[in-house]
Amino acid sequence: MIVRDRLPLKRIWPQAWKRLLVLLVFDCTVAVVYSVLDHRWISLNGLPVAPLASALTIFLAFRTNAAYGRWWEARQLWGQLVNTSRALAKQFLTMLDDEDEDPGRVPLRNSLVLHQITFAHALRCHLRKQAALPEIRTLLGEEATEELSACKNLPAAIVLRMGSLLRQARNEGMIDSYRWTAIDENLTMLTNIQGACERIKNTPLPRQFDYLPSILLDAFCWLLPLGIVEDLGLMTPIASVLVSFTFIAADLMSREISNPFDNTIHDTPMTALSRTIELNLREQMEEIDRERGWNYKQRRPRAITEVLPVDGFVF
Amino acid sequence: MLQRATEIVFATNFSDSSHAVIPTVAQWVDTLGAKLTLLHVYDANKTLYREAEALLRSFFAEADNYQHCDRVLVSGDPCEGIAAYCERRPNVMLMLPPSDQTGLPRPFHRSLRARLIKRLSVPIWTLGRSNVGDSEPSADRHIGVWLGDPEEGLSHLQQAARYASETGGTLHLLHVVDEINEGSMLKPMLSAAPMGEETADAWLKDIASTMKLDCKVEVHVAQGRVSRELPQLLRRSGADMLVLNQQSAVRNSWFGPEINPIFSKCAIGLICVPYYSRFEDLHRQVAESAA
Repeated sequence: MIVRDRLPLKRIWPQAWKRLLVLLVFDCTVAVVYSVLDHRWISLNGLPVAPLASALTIFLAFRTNAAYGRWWEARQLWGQLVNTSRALAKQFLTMLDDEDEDPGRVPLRNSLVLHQITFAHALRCHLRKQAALPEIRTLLGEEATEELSACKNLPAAIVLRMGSLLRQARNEGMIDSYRWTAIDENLTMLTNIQGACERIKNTPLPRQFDYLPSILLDAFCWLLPLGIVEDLGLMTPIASVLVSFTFIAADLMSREISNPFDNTIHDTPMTALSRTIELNLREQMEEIDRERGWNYKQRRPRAITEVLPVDGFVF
Repeated sequence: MLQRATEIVFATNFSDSSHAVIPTVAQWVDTLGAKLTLLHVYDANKTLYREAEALLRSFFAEADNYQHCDRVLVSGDPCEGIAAYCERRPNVMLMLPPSDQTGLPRPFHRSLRARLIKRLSVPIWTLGRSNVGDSEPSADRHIGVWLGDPEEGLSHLQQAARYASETGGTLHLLHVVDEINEGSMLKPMLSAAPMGEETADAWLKDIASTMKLDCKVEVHVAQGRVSRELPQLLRRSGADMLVLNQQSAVRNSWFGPEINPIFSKCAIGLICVPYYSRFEDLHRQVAESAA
């Protein structure tokens, strides 16, 4: 996600310059043919440029709106995941009754929190079509990685494991049915968030939204110089290229943000958000351990820090 | 050498291309089980050490999960810094993403990649081009090998064949025969490259049989201008990455070495393999048989 104040031209220009160059050549040809060679028949002065531009604007605005809707929903879903993760961690850490400290194994409540952190990382990798096993190995250890490596949908498998751990807690008498139901609601929320993200990932914008504006945009850009050449003469290329650039830029921008989980610079910043979840949950876990006087600490091989925006965008 | 790489050095300047190739880097680390080093060379006159360090720590944050991952910060000239780091390490593969495509002419641009490919004797992975916002290809099951001229050697084919047999991939031997006209009669005197499609086909099959490759091999030959035919050949063969010789990857221009333009249109990963003398005999033998 781009976070810098200004959008540099280099983000738009590489995809627009070829179209603009072709249009510029065409505009110059039209201007020269009309003004220098005096072929007046080339002018289409009666062409209703303004209504055509309005119709195109409506189409483009419609698509930009739909694309922005997808982008914003993706961001909201990840915001919801941050909140749900914190709420779940709080429930795991405070609603489960104390168990005896055993230096040989990870306490159940900490294990649940670690599963929650792993879920955030696994969902990110699942949406970006990357392998999540290195993160799972770091957080849950070799045994869990072996078990999970057979699963195709890792985030769903992790939620299932969390459900099994909760059942174990209930069997050991650490939670009652009321508390179990409360925690289970948040686990269902995780499944819903994953489902909504997968829906955005797997369903493109309707093709009509994509195809019609492109066709209309091309038609408008080619007809525009013919419609204005009588009034502007040799200045036609300047005005025509400027107007075309405006529409082409709007077209490109809406196209780029329509896929928020596509591993590009317009992505939802899932790496930064999953890292934030991990840092927050680890902090909560350590706080509770300190409060209860437990010495157990689940550490990573190396310290992690918050992800900062690099070169104007955060990934 | 590819499958012997125990360290992958990913040189980054935090550009869009560097971000875009992260999934490909991750895939290479997983495939080779290699140590990952994220290397950034910064200009000490423009950037503070702590700023550069913070940026490097945030770049490819997922790499913290690898058991063996280092972040190395060096100040000075990027070419010197990267070369010095790679030269003192054994079994390194260097990953160098291309510059971001700006769409503006860069007449005085000096290619860092070309300089490093020419200077270093380690395999270098790069891309022909990278557009802002594009996601990069990451599969490597179909390995194309560019055999342009018999005189360029076959060590890259050897490397690619070993890699293909270890990963269960398919090897695609690619060659483009130049168009023949009256003006090109001088070429056979200067080059041992085959002059017709059938000869080229036989030459590639001869190479495949001489080297006893223990992986699936397909031969693809086309005739015409290389810059036009090669992308089509790659598309037809379905190759995900292209292994080529260091010599054919780089050419000299007015402003120093540059990436050969025939590969700069390729949107798949390019692996430039240095020439090894131990394959010299084999290469000479095949060149003689082709002639």
